[in-house]
Amino acid sequence: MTRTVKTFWIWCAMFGEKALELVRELKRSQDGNLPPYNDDGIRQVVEEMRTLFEQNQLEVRATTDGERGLLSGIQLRHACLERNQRCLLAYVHHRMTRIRDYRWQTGSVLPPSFRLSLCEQEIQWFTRYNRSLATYMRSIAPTGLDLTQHLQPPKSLLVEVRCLEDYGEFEMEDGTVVLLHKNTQHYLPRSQCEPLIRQGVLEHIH
Amino acid sequence: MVVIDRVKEDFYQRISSDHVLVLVYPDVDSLCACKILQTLFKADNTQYTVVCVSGISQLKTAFTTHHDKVRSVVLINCGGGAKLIELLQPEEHICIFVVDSVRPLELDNVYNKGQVHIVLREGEVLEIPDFDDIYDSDQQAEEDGEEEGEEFFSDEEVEDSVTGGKRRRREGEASYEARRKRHLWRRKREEILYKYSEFNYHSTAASLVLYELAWRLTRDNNELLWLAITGLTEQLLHEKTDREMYVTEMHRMQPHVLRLNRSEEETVSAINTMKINFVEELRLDLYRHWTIYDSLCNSCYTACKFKVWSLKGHKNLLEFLADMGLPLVQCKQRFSAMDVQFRENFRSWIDRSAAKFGLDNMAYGSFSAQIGYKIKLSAADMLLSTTALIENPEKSTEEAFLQALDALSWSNVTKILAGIETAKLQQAAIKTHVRNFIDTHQVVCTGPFVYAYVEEGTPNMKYFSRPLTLCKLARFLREAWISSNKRARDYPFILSAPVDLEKGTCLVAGVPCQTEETRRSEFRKAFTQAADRTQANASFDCFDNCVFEMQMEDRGKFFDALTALCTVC
Repeated sequence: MTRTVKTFWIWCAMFGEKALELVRELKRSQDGNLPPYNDDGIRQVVEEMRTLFEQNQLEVRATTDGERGLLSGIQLRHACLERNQRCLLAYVHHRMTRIRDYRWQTGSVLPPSFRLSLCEQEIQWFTRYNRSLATYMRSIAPTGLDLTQHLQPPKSLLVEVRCLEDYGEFEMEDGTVVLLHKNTQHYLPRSQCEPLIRQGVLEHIH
Repeated sequence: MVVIDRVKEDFYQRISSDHVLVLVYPDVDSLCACKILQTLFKADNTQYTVVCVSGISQLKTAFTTHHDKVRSVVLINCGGGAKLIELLQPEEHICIFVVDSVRPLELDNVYNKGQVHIVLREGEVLEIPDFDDIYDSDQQAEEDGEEEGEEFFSDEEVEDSVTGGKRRRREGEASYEARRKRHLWRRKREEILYKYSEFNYHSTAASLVLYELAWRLTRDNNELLWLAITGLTEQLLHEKTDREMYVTEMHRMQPHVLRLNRSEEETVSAINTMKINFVEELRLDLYRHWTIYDSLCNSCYTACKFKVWSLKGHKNLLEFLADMGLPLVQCKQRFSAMDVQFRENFRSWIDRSAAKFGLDNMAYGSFSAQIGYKIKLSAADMLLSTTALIENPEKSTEEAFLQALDALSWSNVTKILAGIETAKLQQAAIKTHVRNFIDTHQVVCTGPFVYAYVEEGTPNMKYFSRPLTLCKLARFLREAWISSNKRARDYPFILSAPVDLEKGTCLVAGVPCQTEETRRSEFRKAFTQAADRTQANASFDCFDNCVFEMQMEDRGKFFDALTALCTVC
């Protein structure tokens, strides 16, 4: 009797391991970098869930037929099922959040390296998300407003920047021209500087 | 003549609506002034561009590359002594504002109509000759004939005495009289100009001028005040002003300090703000961040008083420490790691023992600032740290300038601390060098002045190829030399160090003699004349009056000429 209980527990400990591994894998990867969609892992988890479910079905039927002592096993398997489900959902949801953040940080075009790690459904979702976002941004102001430009509301209109390389003349929206030479410091409108800061021409001084 | 002393109305409110180009000379005072101006501009959303210019040629290139983008240019501690209109040839719509502590200012700048504006502190009076004495009202018309006429006149005078004045009658009494007048006027003009430009000295620090501007705009706060104090301290420690003027300025700062640091409400939130206090600062460099022993050995004042490079001097120093009651083990620890009782009593002990050992001028009035429990700095610490960053030998001038500018804001405590570490190295290098000079008797006295060379290839040479550090070494060496040579007080000191070995250039710096109380120097004039006479290949590019660059091979010739020149004078 004790021996069977022990093996049962070992057997149970196996449940949920793979699902947890999926979540761990996602957590281990760095921000802004998405690991490839783990098709194989997901399939294995789903299979495990199916086995569990079938086993439960069998035992539930047996119980209703009058056999006793199976209920705790059923409950345990059910808990495993639920846990697996939560892990899978967390996996999918977290990936979605990452993809969404990526859209806000870098823009609507996915670089090939990033695209390769997405699965078919995720790409579809991304395109649809893009479309809704664009429609919304067009609708808020008469001319439209790019919401992705400021992730936080800017504290000031102008920012202090330092030039890291010889960029040459830089014309701003209002027509004024600034000469960006290496090792000069400027105080310029934030909206104009941001692309250059991303390119690494300017450095934002706090 | 456009001299602005209503700084707020005529200077700030005029420029603050536009993109402004700010050209800054890399020294501490200018940096502080620049930082104050930046803060003001930020509050007003004024766009600006800051460029570091370390010489006249750089000023010109910086101006020509940026001039078509701006309408107002502010020069901080640069260009006041150069003929700006001639040099920069600005277009009609460009206004140049000069905030410069170097005196005398070039008269062409002062009397320029419309384009060049000299910004002065409110109430300051510029001592300049009258316009009529310098510029002839009908100069334009006669300019062409001027030279000729002058020669003609002097020729005639010679002839007069020979031929008994026959020609005089022929020329006509009236025109003769006019020319005579003109000749006298010219002579007087030259005399006035000579007097005006004879001495170089420094007036109010640029950072003080701009701090008072901020105060007028009611935008002053502790950070800006601290910058102004740092600028003021630079003037004292780099011997740009005399002690008396420093004390006067200190008294002017004191109300500001008291006003901004009222300690009525000691709430919790007030702990993390900056506080400035009046302190009696010791003439021990960086001792709060160093060990007492190192600081005593490497500070100019104590090192020269004790003559630490000699065995006896060193013993004396140890005796001094013993007299104070400080164990050597404690002295060789960082000040912050010393036992509390030693640290607390250090000030009173040093005051007690200093008099016994002839250190009468150990302390001077200064300020210190503190942010919460983070860091406490005295104005001298701040100055040394910033100077070290400006002249950091591992970076180019511009990069070092920007680093130093960063370190001036209090959010960058780590950069200030890094500056302090560099300053320690620099200070130690200076001391080692002074010791070498004294030990090997490399200081030469020629009669009118004393000079020394930093030899090529000496270790730490990289520190001395920049003007501020070279001047510092020169001052240290002068003090050291005086300490062993009592008569030496009256001699100005000249020091030269190699800059670029490939080009074979060296930097020459002069510091006036110790007894010159007003900190005026006449090096500029002497240097230019000597260089002219020997036709040495020298470039007077630096805005600092007593530093210039020349070819190494002309150096001997140059010093000979300088000796001859000074002996005649």
